[in-house]
Amino acid sequence: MICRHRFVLGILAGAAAFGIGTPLSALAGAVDEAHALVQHGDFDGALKKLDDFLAGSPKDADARFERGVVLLKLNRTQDAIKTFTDLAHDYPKLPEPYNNLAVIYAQQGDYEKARDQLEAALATAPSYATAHENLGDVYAALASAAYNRALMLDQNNAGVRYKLSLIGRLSGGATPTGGKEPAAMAVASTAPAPAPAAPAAEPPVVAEESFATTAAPAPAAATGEGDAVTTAATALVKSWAEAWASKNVDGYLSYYAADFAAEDGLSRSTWEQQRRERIQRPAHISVKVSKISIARVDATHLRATFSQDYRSDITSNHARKALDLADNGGDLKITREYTTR
Amino acid sequence: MSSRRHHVLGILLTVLAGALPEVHAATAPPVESEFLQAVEALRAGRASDAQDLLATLVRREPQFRVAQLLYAEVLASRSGEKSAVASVAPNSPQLKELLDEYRVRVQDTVLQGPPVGAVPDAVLGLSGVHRTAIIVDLPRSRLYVLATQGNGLQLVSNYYASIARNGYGKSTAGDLRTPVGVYHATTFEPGNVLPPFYGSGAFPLDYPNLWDRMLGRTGHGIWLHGVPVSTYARPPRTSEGCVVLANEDLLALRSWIVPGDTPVVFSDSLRWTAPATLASQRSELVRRIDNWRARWSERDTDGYLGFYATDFHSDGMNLSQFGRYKRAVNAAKRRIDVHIRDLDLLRYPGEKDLVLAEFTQDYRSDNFATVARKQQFWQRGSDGEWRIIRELSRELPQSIARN
Repeated sequence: MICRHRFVLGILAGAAAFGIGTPLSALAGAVDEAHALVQHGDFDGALKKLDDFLAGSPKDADARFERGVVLLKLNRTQDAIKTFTDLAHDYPKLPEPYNNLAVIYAQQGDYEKARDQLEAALATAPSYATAHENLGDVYAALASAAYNRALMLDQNNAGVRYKLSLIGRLSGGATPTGGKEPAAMAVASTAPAPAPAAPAAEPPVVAEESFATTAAPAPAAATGEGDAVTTAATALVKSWAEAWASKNVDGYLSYYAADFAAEDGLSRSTWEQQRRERIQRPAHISVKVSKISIARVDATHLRATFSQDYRSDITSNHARKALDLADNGGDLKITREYTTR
Repeated sequence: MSSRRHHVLGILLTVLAGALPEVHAATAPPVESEFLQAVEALRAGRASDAQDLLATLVRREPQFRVAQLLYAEVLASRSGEKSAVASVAPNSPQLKELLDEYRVRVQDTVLQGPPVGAVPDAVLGLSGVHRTAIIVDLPRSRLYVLATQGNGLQLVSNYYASIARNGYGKSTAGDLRTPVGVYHATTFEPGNVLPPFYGSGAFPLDYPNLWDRMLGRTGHGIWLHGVPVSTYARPPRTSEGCVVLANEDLLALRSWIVPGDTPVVFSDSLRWTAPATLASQRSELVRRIDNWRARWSERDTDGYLGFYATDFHSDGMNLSQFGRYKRAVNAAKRRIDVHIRDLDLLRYPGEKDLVLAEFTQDYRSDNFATVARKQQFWQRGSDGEWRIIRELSRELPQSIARN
């Protein structure tokens, strides 16, 4: 049974909030706690928490998936492969296990297997953005290998190493949710008509963390006070999307908080490099945001959710996105970015 | 595809202008056929089909480097990356060689290959029921196998063939050119008795032949042979004179080349034509050769000598010495009986108005009988008449001759 505790989300939102000085609620789920430990770098602790939980609920897909991620972080590759493979077998309609298997195979240099897994992922979820981006990388790796063979170049002199994006959590979409109301992101602030201005968001290249439900349990129905903030947040979403679509990488990165943490645990510098590569790679990008709605999570945090339609000459996809924003009294900055389903 | 990306794929696809002629696809070996199908799929915008075809092809022939290059380009365009080739200098020699091979395989062959039912104008006639001829189109790096089947000469198969680094028209040892002319394989050497460089095997050829020696051409060691195991094919202009084929293609020729017998034509300007257009020249020459035979059989030495050109040479004798010799021999006989069979007539490449006749000659006189395989070079003079300028006989063992 997958438990989702929306208020835990409120606590987790904001990169600075991972357990530092903020007691986790007694009702926080084991998987959420384990995930927090992973974000914190305590893989052994996360594994123990998950193993304890799975002893009582061995079939829990969310926990099993998280365990696979932890095993991979512990470099227990074969165990991770088994975990994800079993999960894919039991839940063949989930794209995430296939994606992570692809990540592992790519790490091992077997890009053909990685491609097969990603195509399986896309068969279950044709617009799954991470899988699309990863597939692009896999094709690039395969092309490079074929090119080396054509010109009889040293195969070991691989040049570019292609690191695929790992997915950190299962989305709630395809599994029974213990959760509550589905993403009625609505709440609060009327999302200003999302003139799907120009560029929208790129598919969250970063491993997405998606939660079926969202919004803090009692989303602050943003009343009047919210108007200025809401306007600012909405404007940020649009500007951020526009920077992305116009391939203004520096401008795009400037919207992210200094302590922004990528969902799959990539270091800031690695994440920035990956974003740079992936934004520069297509010839042209179109990103349309719509149905933007802003909610206040707590005194210093907002959440913007919106529909994102991404098109480039390589791929296109559509997703429901969320950006957690920190309001430090001046600028709004993105502290978390993820897909909701 | 982005126009601002340097794309070899773009280069590769602009090489083609028309559709692939069916005859080429039907007679090319499977590996090349599949490659051309992939190219065709790409041109038709079916990138996914092309990718599948190429994936299968390179799995089967990982050394087929032109296919790997095309595959790399197709994959790169799916990844959205700049061309996989962009990171290498555009004038890298390996890349240039692969592009040359690609161009030859696709453009030169496909667009200028033979129409259905056409025959090369080099072959005026082949004798016998199961006769074959090998024709190499040197400028286009393509080897054709023709065979007499049922209703006439037909194209049986064709193969990509590399020639010499400096092209064709060999005249001297070390000039790194492939000769132009009509040759025969002397034997077949299997790969396991040769250095690995020659791949699956070799047919050494008889360069310099009678005509080459007449012209004072030097050099030796001109073979048809295979490739080292580390590669599937070599660039179009690569050897020191030999004609080089993929290993499986070289082995396929064993069904078609009879050493000492099958004509192997290296042509510098091959043209394809309907068989009917060759008929009148063929019958003219057949008649002429038969008249020569008749004069000989009737011991009409003057008439016989009238078929020889004034600059004729044979066995060190000029025409007048040859004439005196023949008169003496014929005078000593009461009866001469000459029959001709198994006649091949070939327009000699690289020359104007020169035809090579090769036939088996049964000679019987009152005291002597031989069977010989004869080569006769007939040249048309300024008066429009065909005359023999060189000839050579190779006596055949009786046991082989009578069949």
